[in-house]
Amino acid sequence: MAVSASLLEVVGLTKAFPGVQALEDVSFTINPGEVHALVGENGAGKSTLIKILAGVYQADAGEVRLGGSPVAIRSVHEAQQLGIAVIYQEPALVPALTVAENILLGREPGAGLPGLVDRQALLAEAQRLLDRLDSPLDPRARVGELGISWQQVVEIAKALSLDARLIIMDEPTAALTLQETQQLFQIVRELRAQGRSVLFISHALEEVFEIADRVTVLRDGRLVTTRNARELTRADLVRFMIGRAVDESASRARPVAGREVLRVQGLRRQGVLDNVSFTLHEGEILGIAGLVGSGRTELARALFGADPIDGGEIWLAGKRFAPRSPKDALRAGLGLVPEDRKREGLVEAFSTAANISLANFGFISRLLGWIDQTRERLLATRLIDRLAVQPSSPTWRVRNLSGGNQQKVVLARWLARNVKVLLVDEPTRGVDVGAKDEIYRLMDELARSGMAIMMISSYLPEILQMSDRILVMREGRIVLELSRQQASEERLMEAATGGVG
Amino acid sequence: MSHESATVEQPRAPAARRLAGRRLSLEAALAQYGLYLALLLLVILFGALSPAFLSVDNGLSVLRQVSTVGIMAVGEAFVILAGGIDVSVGSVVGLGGMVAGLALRDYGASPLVAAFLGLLAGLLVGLVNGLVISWLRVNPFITTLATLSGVRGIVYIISNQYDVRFPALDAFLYFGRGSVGPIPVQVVVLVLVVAIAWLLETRTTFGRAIHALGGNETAARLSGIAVERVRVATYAICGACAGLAGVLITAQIAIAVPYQGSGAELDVIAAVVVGGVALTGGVGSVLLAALGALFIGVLANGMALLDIPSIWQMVIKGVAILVAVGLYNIARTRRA
Repeated sequence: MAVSASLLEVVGLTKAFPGVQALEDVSFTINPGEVHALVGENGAGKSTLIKILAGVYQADAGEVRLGGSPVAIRSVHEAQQLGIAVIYQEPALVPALTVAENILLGREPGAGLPGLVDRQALLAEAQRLLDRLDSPLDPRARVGELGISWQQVVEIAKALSLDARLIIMDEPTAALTLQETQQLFQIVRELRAQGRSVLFISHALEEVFEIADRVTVLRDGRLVTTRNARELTRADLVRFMIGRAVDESASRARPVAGREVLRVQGLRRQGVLDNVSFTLHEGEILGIAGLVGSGRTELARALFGADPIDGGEIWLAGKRFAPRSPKDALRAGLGLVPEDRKREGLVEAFSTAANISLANFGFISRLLGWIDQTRERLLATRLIDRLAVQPSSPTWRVRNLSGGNQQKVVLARWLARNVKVLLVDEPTRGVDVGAKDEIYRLMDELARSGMAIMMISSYLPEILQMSDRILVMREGRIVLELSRQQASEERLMEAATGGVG
Repeated sequence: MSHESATVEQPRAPAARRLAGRRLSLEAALAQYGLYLALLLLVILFGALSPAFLSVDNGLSVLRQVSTVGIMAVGEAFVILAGGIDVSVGSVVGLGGMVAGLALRDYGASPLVAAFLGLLAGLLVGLVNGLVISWLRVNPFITTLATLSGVRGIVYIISNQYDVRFPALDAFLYFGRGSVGPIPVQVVVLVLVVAIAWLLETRTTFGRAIHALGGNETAARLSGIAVERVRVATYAICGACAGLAGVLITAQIAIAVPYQGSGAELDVIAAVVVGGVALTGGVGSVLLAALGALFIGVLANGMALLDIPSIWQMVIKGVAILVAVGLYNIARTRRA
């Protein structure tokens, strides 16, 4: 493979869907042995581009050149044969099969008779591929029992077995913890060292700067620029992505927090929460940092009455509070913006208005639950205006909204109520840069108006930027409490990981 | 009009067209109104082939024939919309009719009380179904399969395995045989049930909660909806509808038969599915479920008038169900 020539060239790629121009005249190159980041807001055209390279979509115009010569990628199978592999956010593996069986699925080494598999050869080949990734994964492990990060490793090993020269990773880190992300990056570096190229899609700009050699930015289906990562600052990149500068320090200098609203004492749940105690005040944003699985989400769920507790006390505005269901919590003035908005937050078949109404039946209905359609519409339009949800029609189907706008709808649900304590879990996961900024502003505004907010996040810059006070959780316990002034990414990371890694 | 069209904007020009495209909105419209169109085509077809088909008498007779299945389909639709399934309705029909018959024969109940007791018996079975599913977390199919068997057994026990002949009070038989003007009472009951169910589904927070439960149970629970209560209510409604259907059938044939309603659950679920209610929950409406029952009824009636052999009628009905469900799936996949 000649080092000077590019591995893959995209020339004038254009793709339209009925009524929308998804890609327009996009050209860039990927060099052999480079990690190339593809960034842009939701709807910028990243997914369309990947799907064309993966053979899922066909371009309307333009061409893809591999090693200098134009290729036609008419199906996923053809993409594989050309050495292009795609690792999606949610790995598409067979849970009941082992790692080795998944890696070599459909290409198992035969044992003489048709249909028989040479298990020893299968394991050996899988082990060889995993070794090349320097991965400790056991080829005999069942995939269904592995976490997403390990499943991604299986996908990557599978790509290696197909001798993929270009490995496309579509937001691979979105569901990973920081530690897992580091492991993945180690593998990405390994792939690069072997001369393979990685096209890496991510919303987390820190990751882009950490791992990428070059960065290509898309906006509204057009190419903005391709640059060396070293020549870019974070502010440059954000400006390229959204076409304007963003004030990322939106939330400074809130007044000192007010009265205590929530007091948690010795909260316990077997294997999940271990003697958790803390307080939360009016007008305060309390950041909860920690790795996935440290008990953060479970703490929020326990407070919201979604999971039972084994012991401990909760006091809400000075009164004992023992929610047995989310309904109890809702009545008492709590709100929850869950971690995974598609699975836990939204009814995707419903309109924006109906999703907002879900926690506000009391407001929109009269006697016997009869819905007052005027009030429902009024409620929806008011909140849509306030949060600038796009498109602004209350009857728009939520499924067709972007991630950021979906998150705004989940938030909107609680703004109509007189929520005293808002629990937000990963408020900006999978949300594009512009909407992220708006969500930060909104949380700041809510805190200023006296709401108490508990914000769980895996994204440390967000924790540092938004919180007045920060708690770090590890293995179900609160291991560190810091004021914003005392906190730094290093201290939080150290506490979250227990000093290792 | 289904629940979805009431609360969700179908892609509309110009902004929507930009996102969804004209071709897709046509498919959305077909998913929404396809059944009306298919029913219309069926009526035109049979009308052209058989002169007797388009008479008012035949029309009313078809409506009367589908009324009990239609009522059960409405109840079943609530359950399925909320993400459940109730296969016990066939036995509940038998129970409802038998309870009414015994109340008339052995307890001298007045017709209205007897009818009410039949409906109540169905409601109680529904409650049991709902509570077992909610509290013990038993899979709804298994739970209602068990009550399908258990309730049929109870019907045989309370009837001593004999048909129950009760005093043929005109006021009771009126439920099954009477008519309001030219319209059979059964049809009036069907229309009332559909109307009430439709209002409940599309105009109340209860209906909204049902759709939310079927669409995304976790999101519904985390939004503070009392999902278990809603779920139990859907099974109770379904049981009550089946009990009511049993009363109507008993009043029509003037005898309570222990095996009445055997296998009715299959007709009911077929009607709901032809109506476009997805078994995964959250998609469809009670109105369309009733229309599904009507579609199957019209198909059966037309085929009978055309003297199509009954064994072939079964095959054609099966094919029609598969085609309907296949078309819904295509329309929905394209739309998503």
